[in-house]
Amino acid sequence: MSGSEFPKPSAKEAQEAQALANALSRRERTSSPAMREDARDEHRGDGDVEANALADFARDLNVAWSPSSLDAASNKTLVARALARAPKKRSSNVVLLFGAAGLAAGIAAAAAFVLLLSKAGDTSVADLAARVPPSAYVTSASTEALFHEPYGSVRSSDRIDRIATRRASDLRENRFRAWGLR
Amino acid sequence: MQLSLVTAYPLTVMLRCVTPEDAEERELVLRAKAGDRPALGILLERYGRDLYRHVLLPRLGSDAHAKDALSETYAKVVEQIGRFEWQGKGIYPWLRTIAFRVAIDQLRARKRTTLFAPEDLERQLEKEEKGASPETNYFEDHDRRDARAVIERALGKINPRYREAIRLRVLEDRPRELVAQELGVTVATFDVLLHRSLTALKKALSSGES
Repeated sequence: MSGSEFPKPSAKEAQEAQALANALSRRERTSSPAMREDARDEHRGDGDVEANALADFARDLNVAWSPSSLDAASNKTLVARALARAPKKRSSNVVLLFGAAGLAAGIAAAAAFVLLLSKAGDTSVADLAARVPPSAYVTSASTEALFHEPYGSVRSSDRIDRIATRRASDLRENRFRAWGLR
Repeated sequence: MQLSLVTAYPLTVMLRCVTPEDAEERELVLRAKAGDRPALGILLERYGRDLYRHVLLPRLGSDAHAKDALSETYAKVVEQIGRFEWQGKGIYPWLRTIAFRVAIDQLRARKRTTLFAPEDLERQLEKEEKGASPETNYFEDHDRRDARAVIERALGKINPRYREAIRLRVLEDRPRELVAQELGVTVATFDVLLHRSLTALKKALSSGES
């Protein structure tokens, strides 16, 4: 296509061509890609959609042909933002806590098992008693000796406490004998 | 130094040296998979700028879109790092695939004509996934060449004078006055010429001629 073959533009086309040239020049004056975006956005209001669309297309071609680098600071910011949303690694404290809880649960389970075994092997009081001759047991004696005061001068609850203490002592003694501890 | 047998893209088998850098990267990957955020941060900082420059910016065409896509890529990497399996090629091919998919999604959402059609990118990705994944260096060269080839093919469909106007003014970023002088026209005529050139190229792309 030579100069003579170049069809003369209509007034509208000349105007659009001028708008495109302006849009490209405006972007050229800005240094960074981000500022170029801003320059395009500033231009958005003047109604020349066609010029902006072609300028966008020219920019697509330009960056595909020789793409610019992303500055390290911007990259760092994007990385930090993504990592901030990442779930945190389980810390050693948490592991320790869960470890301790697991250990405690293990000990509890072991204790329960031992209890179960000992229960299974437990002999009833009646069985134990049968193994010890009756003469070996303490015979529950009268509690009369506990009361030196005249009847009625001691409160009922005190009397009952003394009787209960004596009987408990007899019972304890007989259990020890039954278990062979005496 | 260890030697390992790997299949390079497309089907060539070669011996590849396992360098200390590979070992270091593998260690970082393992730590990242275990939830070590600083390790993942090192990997992203190392490769993010390549993803931006070679994968996202050429295909998306603007700094803002490419940064959005990179941010989205990072979010997906953080989410999916536990699923990454080390295959002796480094983590870049995997990162690139994620970035590629993000770019495809962004292009699909756009209304206007773009240099790269999402369907073409998808086909390219599928083709690459079928073969053994190449290494980082391969991708960088490949992506650079690929972007330029797309433009060259598109330019090949328009009038040579239009092609020259776009090459000098848009691709090489030369001043408008100098380009007008080089093409032997006035600045006003050059403005019209460039307008017609870009319109023709855009039309060729949108009609699928290129």
